[in-house]
Amino acid sequence: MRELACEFGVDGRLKGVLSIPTTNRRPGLAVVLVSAGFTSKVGPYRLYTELARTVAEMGLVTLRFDLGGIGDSQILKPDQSLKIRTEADIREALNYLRDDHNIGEILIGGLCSGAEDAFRFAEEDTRVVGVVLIDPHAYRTKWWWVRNLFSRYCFNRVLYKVLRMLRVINIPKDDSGNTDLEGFEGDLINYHYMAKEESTRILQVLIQRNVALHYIYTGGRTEQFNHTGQFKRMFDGVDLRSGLVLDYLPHIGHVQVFEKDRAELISTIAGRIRESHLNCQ
Amino acid sequence: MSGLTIGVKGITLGIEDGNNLQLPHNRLKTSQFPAEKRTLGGPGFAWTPTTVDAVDNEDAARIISACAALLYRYSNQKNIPMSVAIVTTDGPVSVIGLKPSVAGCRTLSALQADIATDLSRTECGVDGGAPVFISILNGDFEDQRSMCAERAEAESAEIHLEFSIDFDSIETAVHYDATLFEESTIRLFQKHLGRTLTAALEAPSTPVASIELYSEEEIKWFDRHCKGEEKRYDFYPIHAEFEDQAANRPDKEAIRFKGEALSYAELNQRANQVARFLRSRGVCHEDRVLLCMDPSLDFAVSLLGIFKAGASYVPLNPAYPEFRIGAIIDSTNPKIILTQVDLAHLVDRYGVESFLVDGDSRALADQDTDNLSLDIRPHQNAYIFYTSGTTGQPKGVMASHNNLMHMIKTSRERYGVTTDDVMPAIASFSFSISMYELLSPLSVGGTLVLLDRKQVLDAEYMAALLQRVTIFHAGPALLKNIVKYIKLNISDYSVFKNVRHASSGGDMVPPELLQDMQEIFEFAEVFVIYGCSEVSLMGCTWQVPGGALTRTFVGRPFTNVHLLVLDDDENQVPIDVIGNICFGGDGVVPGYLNHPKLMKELFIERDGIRYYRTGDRGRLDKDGDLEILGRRDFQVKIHGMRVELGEIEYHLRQAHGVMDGVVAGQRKPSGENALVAYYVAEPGEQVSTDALRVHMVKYLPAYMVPAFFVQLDSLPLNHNMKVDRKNLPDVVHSEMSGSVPAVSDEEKALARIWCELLGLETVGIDANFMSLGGDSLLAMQMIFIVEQRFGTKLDGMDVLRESLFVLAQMLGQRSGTNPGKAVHNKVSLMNPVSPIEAFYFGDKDSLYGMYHPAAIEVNATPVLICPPIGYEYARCHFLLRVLSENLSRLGIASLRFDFFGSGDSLGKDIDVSVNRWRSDLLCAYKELVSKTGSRKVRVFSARLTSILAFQSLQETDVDRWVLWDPIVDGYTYYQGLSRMTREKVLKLLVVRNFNFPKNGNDSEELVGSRYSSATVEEIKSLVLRREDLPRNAEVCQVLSRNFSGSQEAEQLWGNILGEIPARTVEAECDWYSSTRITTSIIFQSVLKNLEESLRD
Repeated sequence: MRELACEFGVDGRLKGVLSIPTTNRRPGLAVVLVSAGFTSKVGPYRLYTELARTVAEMGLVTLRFDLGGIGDSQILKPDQSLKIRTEADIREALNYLRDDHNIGEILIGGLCSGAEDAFRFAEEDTRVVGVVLIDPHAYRTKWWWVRNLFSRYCFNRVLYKVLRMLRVINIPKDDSGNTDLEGFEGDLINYHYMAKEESTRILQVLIQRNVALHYIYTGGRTEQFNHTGQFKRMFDGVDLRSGLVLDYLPHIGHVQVFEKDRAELISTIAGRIRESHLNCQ
Repeated sequence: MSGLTIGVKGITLGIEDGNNLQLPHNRLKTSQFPAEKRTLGGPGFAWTPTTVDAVDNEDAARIISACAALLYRYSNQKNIPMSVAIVTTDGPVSVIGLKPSVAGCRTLSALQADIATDLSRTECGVDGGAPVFISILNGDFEDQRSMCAERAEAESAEIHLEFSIDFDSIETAVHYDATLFEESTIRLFQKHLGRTLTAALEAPSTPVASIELYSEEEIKWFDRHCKGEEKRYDFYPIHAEFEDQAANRPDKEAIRFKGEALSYAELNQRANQVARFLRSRGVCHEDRVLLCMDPSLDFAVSLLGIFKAGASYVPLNPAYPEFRIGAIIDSTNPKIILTQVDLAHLVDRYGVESFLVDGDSRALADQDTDNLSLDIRPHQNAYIFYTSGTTGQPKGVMASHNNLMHMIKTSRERYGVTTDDVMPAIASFSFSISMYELLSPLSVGGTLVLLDRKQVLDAEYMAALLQRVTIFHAGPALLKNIVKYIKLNISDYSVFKNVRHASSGGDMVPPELLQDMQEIFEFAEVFVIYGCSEVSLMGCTWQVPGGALTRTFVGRPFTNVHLLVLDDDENQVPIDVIGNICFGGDGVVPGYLNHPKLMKELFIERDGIRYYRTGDRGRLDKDGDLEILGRRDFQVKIHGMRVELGEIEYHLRQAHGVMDGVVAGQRKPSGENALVAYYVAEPGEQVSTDALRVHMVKYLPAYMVPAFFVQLDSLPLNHNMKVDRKNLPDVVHSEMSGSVPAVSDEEKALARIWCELLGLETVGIDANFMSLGGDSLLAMQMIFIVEQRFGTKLDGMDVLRESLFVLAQMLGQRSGTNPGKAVHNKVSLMNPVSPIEAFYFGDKDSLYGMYHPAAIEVNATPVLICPPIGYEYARCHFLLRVLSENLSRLGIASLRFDFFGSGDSLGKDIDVSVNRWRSDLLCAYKELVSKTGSRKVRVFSARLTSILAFQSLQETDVDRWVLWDPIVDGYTYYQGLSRMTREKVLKLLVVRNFNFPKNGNDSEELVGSRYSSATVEEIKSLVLRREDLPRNAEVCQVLSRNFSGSQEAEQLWGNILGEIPARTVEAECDWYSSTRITTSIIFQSVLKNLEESLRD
């Protein structure tokens, strides 16, 4: 595996890093990682860097890049909305892979907003053959409430509040001055996930196109997603075929600050890619 | 602002940046007069050449270094442009352009080495036309001497320094332009040159700042002129003097206000009642009592009552905004607030006891009227006045009773205030000058006239009042209005015959105003008073002489006041050279309330005397009178030269048809400063900007001629009637910025909110909140404000990444309007793409770098941006990118890079080591040198990298180090990260069902990075040692506010880097907050200070 700094788009405004396999390269297919939130192509705690290297070692060219205005990339048209700009930026990345590396099939993914940007783009571009979504949209169901009521999470919340009232524990306030549990893992400015109507529509389109879908939910999304069976109920009525896989990793966080969490997440993704795109079990 | 016209813009000044040098001109350099060359022979010096035969580069460097060092001391400029001719044969004379880089900490020998290297190079640093020409003649070459003189003249050199070497001695001569310099100035310069040359030849290890320039005679001169008369006053509180007057002349009128009056006995008795009332409410010595009252007899009664009760008087202007009132109450924590019925609502919400002086007369009337005769100590706090700091944060200046006594006694003696005097209190009570006005007459048996603001601002009323007083003081802005009214409406100035003393101060007083005062108040002595709250107002004073005036001085120090005019290395500057004004002596107050750090910065001790840095710039003339040239903050660098705006303003006001004017420097989008002249025309006068320019060109050198002229209806004034420079319109940006201005209501409103939050003058609709320096906390505030004003909430992610244009559209759509679409449909917003280069470099292409070439060519020193380690890098990655982009726009190339095992570079965190980081730094340095071709590099380093950079780049050619919140002790850093990691673990465990991460024996997790145990041990043992600090380069620090109070900072200031200049910025860079580890650090104030520290 070797890495190459690359740039594309008008005047090379978008910057990325291409991880290129030196052996066992699978031609014509590449993985594209879409930057998440305000973090650069490195990903939170180098998640994207390490994931790209792992995938490249498996034989797939991997491109991680900064969307315009993030990391090292520049915005071309500030009067366009983020949604339009993001779509254009991802398209530039795919065009670059097509034109410069002769790659026509794309497995695209990301974390949080990166996951949803990838998901949205996949609906529009038929080059996308697979989507990896880490902590994307999720919607509470009846069983979410039931599970939540009896979960250790809920117990811990109550326990925490009691301990705090008794001043047994003292956990610093978060950025918004909040000492409640909600503030612990949430971003300072919360990202608004896509509405259920939109995600349902896109999901149906992608299933129709036989796009391989890999959903991963971590413990960081517990407030919206707390058991594997919830997914089916969230999209009740959608014909979820075998192309869709789901991994629920409740013991790791949304932003994986610990190495073992990142390693597990990467291993999970790599395993699924190997299964679905490299025809290995 | 109506009536705003903008004149000639963007003129080409026609001077080459870098060839300018500020010499101590006695007259302004203009094109009006042809040069008039004169020569002054100087003393000889013993000379020992390094080689037998001829003067080599090292010999020449010794002489040139002396010249460069002296010119640095005179100009305070770091790059000294000069043309040098070294003549060793009778052949043609060749001239080399040099621009040695000088700093106070650099030794003469280091300077000599640089110059010798430069001389050995063929290329020239300066293309000719330098203001200083140096000729070194080794032998008797008369023809060559003439050729040098001709060449100097051809290059329009202002000073030509000639050194003739004759075997074992050097003769010196200075040829100068007599239209610019007086002989006395050159004679002094020559003396100083002699001392510098002696140091260069005999003690080259002397740092430039340590060269002793002055003779015994000069030191005595400074002592004589910079120290006020020494006089011992026995301590006696001012209110006790008032009590004496009340005892001696009980029936004399003490005070009058709007037809009411009180005698001394009445005033004293009522003040005693207030004092006793305060004591009865538990007010003790130095307890703070806030006085929130409009001008009235009750005000004067209460003021004296507070002093008599031994409490601290804190004025609270009822006109202040609610926020400021709250801030003052919070910070002073008053025991009680004295107020009036009509104003009670302003202070009743803060939970502090208040008393209505005009509403509960019974509570006062019940008190005894006798003097309390409490024991007041000299150093007991007398009052606290809040002044506006240049940072925008008000500071509470605490003065003692001794300071108050000094103020009143010295001014009273100097101006001869007597029992017969009638004095109006013109200044607002929230300004400390009011103490002088209120207490001077009352302490001596005179009569005080109180005025309300309406009366003060009514020129007709004031003109009538001044006919009934004997002594007054008024600020220049107010006085101008009064003088204007008088000149237009009163023909017989004898009606002012009672006025025996008139003074002005508190702002720059134009000479023409002083002349008007002399004309109108013909029987009065006219004075200028200069000082500030921190020195109890009475710093210097100048009695305006008769005859034509072209300059305003502030004169000499008051009794028991010491004056210093220092350069940036804290040396006294020579006569006629501009420096920073400091005052010491009895007037210097103990300090600020709750601002220990600011006190440390602004109050210095020198020779056992405590001095206050006023922040003003000025110079001493050869008669010892001080001249003020403006605030240090108002200094503007144009083409590398410091320009004092006062000089330009003087000539602007002299222009035909101009009634008033000020000049300000504004930053152009390119990063360069532009001068903007704002003027108000005389009524009925049409002033064309072309005519103004012609006028200015006639009297000012090209670089001092404003690029913009803006006509205003009136100059913005603050409530102290001073020109409010912050409210001058930003012309440069709106005229020259490529950004598209806001048009629709939503865009304008949003732009205003952004400007308020980010402290910017203007914001284009193509701007992004984060790119402008908004951090996520500010983003939250912005969302909140928008919700309050528009009733609709913006999404966080949109705020972080959308442009103002898009956000305004969202707001418009949600509120049912469609903002500015019709207008902006014609405007295609297209950002130019900066040519930045991403690449891998170093051993096995293992390091990822981003090179930002300079967008404009100014030959600036490139910058190596050394990022912090670990998670801290991720937090400030965006800031570093914006910094690089901004530097690029200023013409400074920069290289950012990721350390091995971080970011996009190869490797894993577990594989890194401290040595690897060190070698990465060296590798990046070499890469930048190779990309730019410049060996000289400037280094920016953040946090832990500061230690590593010092250790690894010691042998390189780094001319300046800029540190951001540097770490001097790896162990403290480790502890911080370790604590954060533990906190993070705790939270995850408490909240959710997470697995506990375990550290292995051979590695440890530190906030997102897993380092080997060996690396962790290396980090813990990192310490910045004194020997790590560079010897021949500048070092400066940018410190965030919360960092400056941290343990690291204490070590920093108390230990290694204590003497390194630091800029503290209003930014909370909470490096060790476990709740913010994913929050970007991006602050406008940090960016701005880093940029300023990194540029020339």
